[in-house]
Amino acid sequence: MARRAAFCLAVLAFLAGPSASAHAETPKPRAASASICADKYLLALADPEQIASLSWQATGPLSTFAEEAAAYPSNRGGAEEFLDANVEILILNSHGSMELRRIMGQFDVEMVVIATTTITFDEIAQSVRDVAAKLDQTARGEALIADMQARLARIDPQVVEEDAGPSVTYFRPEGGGAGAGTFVDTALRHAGFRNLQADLGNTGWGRVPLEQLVLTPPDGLVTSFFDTAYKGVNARFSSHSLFTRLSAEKPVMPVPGRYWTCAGPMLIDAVESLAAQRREHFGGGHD
Amino acid sequence: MTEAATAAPRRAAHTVSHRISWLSLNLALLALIGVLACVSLTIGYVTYPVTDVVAALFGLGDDKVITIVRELRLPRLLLALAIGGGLGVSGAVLQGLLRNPLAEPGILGISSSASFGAVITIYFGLSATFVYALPMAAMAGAATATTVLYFLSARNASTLTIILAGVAIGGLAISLTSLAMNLSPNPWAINEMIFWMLGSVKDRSMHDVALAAPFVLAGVILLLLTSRALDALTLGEDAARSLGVDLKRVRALAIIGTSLAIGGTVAVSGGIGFVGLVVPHLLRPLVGHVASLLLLPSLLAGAALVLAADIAARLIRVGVEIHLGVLTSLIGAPFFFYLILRTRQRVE
Repeated sequence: MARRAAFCLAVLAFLAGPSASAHAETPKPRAASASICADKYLLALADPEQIASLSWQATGPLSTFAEEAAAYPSNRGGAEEFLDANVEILILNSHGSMELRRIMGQFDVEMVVIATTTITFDEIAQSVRDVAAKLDQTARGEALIADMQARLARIDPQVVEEDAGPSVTYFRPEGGGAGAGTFVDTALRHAGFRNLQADLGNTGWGRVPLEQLVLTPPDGLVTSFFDTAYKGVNARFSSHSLFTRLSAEKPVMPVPGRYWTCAGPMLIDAVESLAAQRREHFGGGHD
Repeated sequence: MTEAATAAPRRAAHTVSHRISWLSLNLALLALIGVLACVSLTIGYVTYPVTDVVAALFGLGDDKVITIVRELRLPRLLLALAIGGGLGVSGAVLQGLLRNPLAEPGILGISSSASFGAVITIYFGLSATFVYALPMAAMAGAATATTVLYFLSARNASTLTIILAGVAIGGLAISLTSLAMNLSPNPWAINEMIFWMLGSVKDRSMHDVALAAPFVLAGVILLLLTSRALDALTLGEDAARSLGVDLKRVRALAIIGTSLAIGGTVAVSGGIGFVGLVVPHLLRPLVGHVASLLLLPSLLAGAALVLAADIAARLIRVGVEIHLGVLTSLIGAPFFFYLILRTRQRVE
C-alpha cells in the first residue's frame, strides 16, 4: 500500500512538473482561512505567497502549526479583513461563521466550506481535493492524501482489519464522549481500538452513562482536550469518584486536543498517537 | 371628571416649561448619534483615513474602501440605530403601559420567542440552506408570542396578567431553546445557536437592513401612537378609562408595535438585552416624568447606546469580536440590580 502510494506520488510529481511551469505566469489565487480547521488545509496546500491570512486561533493552543502560522497575518473573521486583503478564496467551516458565510456570498470571493460533519478519511480526502483544486494546487493535494493513506496503511493492519483491539471509551473534560458517526470513532478504529460507546449502540457526541461503564468497563480510556480545558468544568467531571477510580485502574491515553479540533488532515496525527499508546499499553498484537 | 379637568392644565404647564429643554434634549441626542455614526463608520477591522471613509460613503475613491464602507459598515450602523431605537421606545411604552419600572420587551417573552424561532432553523439546518429561513422564523416566533398576548389583552386582562403571561411565554421559549441545544447532535450547531443568541450586528448586509427596517419602522410608529394614552395611564387604569382612553386599543398598539420592532431586530441580529430597560429610566428625570415626552428621547438614546456599544465591541481587538448583546447586558444587568434595590426601598 505504502509502495503504491509512493509510486502514485512519483507519477503525480512528474505530471505536475510541466503543468506547474505552464501556470507560472498566472499567479495562483490568494486565499484566507477563517477557522483553525481551515487554517490547516490552507497551510498544508497553499504556497506561502497565496496565504493572505490565517484565523486568530492559528497561533493558539489548539494549533498543531503555531510556529509556522506565526509567519502569516492573522484575521479575526471579519468580512472587512478579507475584502481589504483582496482575498479570492475564503476557506471556512460549515458551522460557526453563519453571518460571514452569508455576507461573503455577495462579494467576488469564492468560498470553500469544510463540513464539520465530516467523519471518514475518505471525506477528509475529498475536502483536501476540493480545497487543493480551488487553490490550484492539485498535485500537493494528491500528495497530502497519498501521505495520509500511506500512514494509515502502516498502522498494524491485522489489528485494525480484524477489529480485535482493546475497547476504549473517549472522554472530553466535560464528560462528553463519541459514539458511532463521529470522526473520533473513525480515529479510534483506525488506531486499532474498538469504541465501546459505539459498540453499545450510541451515535453522535453524547456520553456513555457512568452506570454503563460500571457494567461494561472499557479496557482503557482515551481523553482529549483535558490540556486546554477550563479548569472549572474540567474538575467537575474528571473528579467524579467513578471516573478517578476507572482512570486509576485502566490505562488513560491522552490525545492532544489540537489533533482533532475537526476532521482534517491532522486526524492522522491523532490516529498515530493512539496507535502508539495502544502498543505501549496493550502490546502490538493484542486480541 | 374633575381629575381630568385638573390634569389637563397641569400637563399643559408641564409641556410648556419642558418644551425647550425637551427640544434641546432631543437635539443633543441627535448630535450624539451624528458623532457616534461618524466614529462607527471609521472604526472597523481594517483602518482607513477618515477622508477616505467619507469619500467612500459618497462613492468616491478606492473600490475596496467603497465596498467596505457602504456594504459592511453602513448596514452595521443602520442596524445598530434601528435596534437601539426600537428597543428604547418599546421599553418606554411598555413601562408606561404596564406602569411597571421593570417592564421591557424581554419581559413579555417576545425576544425569547423570536430567538427560539431562529434557533429552530439552526437546529434543522434550514438557516444554511435558505438564507431567509432564520429571520422569517424569528418573526414567526415573535408573532406567536404577540398573538397570545394580544388575545389576553383583547379579553381585557389586567396588566399584571399580561406581564405574568409574558414571563410564562418567555420561560417556555427559553426552555424549548435549551431543549433544541440539548438534543442537537452536532456540537458546532450548538455553538452557532449560542453565538447567535448573544446578539451582534457583525457582517450584516443591506439585505438585512431591508428585511428589518420595515418591521422596526411600523412597530415604532404603532408605539408612538400610544403617547397620549400613556399620560392618562400615569393616573391609573380606571382614571385613564374615565378619561376616554381605550385600554384595549392601547395595549394592542403597544404589544403589536413591540413585537414588530423586536421581531424585526432579533431576526437579523439575535438577542440584545437591557437597552429597553435602561434607557427610559435614564431619561425619565430629564423629561419631568411625563410619559409622552419620554418616547422620542428614548428612541434616540436607545439608538445612541446600541451604536456606542457596537463601537466598543469593535474597539476590543482581541480574538473573536465581543457580541453586542453581551456588552449591552454588561451595562444593563448591574443597572437592573440597582433598580430592584431602589424600587424595594421606595416600597418599604
